[in-house]
Amino acid sequence: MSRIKLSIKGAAGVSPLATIDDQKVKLRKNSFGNLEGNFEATEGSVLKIYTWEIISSPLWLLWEFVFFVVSVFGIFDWGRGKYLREIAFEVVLHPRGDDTIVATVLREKGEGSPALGLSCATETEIRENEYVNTAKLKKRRKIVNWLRFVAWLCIIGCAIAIIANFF
Amino acid sequence: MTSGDRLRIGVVRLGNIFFGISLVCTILTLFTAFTPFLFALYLLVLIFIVLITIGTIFVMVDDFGGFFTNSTEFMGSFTETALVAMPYFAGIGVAAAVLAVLLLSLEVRPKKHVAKIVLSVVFAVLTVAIVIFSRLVVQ
Repeated sequence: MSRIKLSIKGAAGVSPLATIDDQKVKLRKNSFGNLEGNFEATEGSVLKIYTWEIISSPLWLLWEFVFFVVSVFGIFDWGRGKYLREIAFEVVLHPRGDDTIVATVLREKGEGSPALGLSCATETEIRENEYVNTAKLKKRRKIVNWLRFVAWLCIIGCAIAIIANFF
Repeated sequence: MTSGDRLRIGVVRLGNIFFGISLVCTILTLFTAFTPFLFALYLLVLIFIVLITIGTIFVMVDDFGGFFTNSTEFMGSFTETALVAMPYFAGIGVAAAVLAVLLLSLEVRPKKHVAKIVLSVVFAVLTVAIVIFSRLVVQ
């Protein structure tokens, strides 16, 4: 059993989650804005680092509808869609002692481009390392934006009709 | 990622929305609570204009008396409406702030919404304080 320190650099705005053998790794932000966590690993432990967007959920249209209604037709939905990318990173560790794994979030965000750069003394076997669903998320976001636009046209139309009827 | 985690990520975004609602409602509560003071200030300014011109404003400006009466009536009805609306703004604001605190604290990702949670508590307390203060002043 080796004690491993995980440090994720450049994670500002990404907020990834990490698991080791499907157990969550508690990540904390340090004074430099990097995420850090500690875990114990054995031979063949699987480390996963990933992000998930609500818009990639199977119920994405329902979620977006709920957000649109609750936020009073999107007026209060301020933090929407700053970062539209999902990271899928999976690596098998073969630790020979305590180590520090430094993972750097890479800037290239195209579909299939590598998501994280890894630096450590531990022998690793990368199974998956890419940005995923980028095209799908962009398409869904476009659909949501169009639906919002149509909804707003309907709202404005109804408002005009009500005002015209009132006066 | 478990479905529970996914649900919590969605719920946290709802918390962000409720934070925005509580912010706006707190501002509206504050504004409506101060409307009577604004009305009093407006009256004072009008009276000051009359005093400084020793009443000649009524001769210099056509229908100043009508303007005085109409604008005072409008401000009076506006103040009345604002005071009626205040408890609704306050209620929505406090409810939204409480929901924001509850939902934002469910965050599973490493980002913690400490500032938003603290501000939501401040908004809730401030709104309740404004309502109590305005009730005391009215009484």
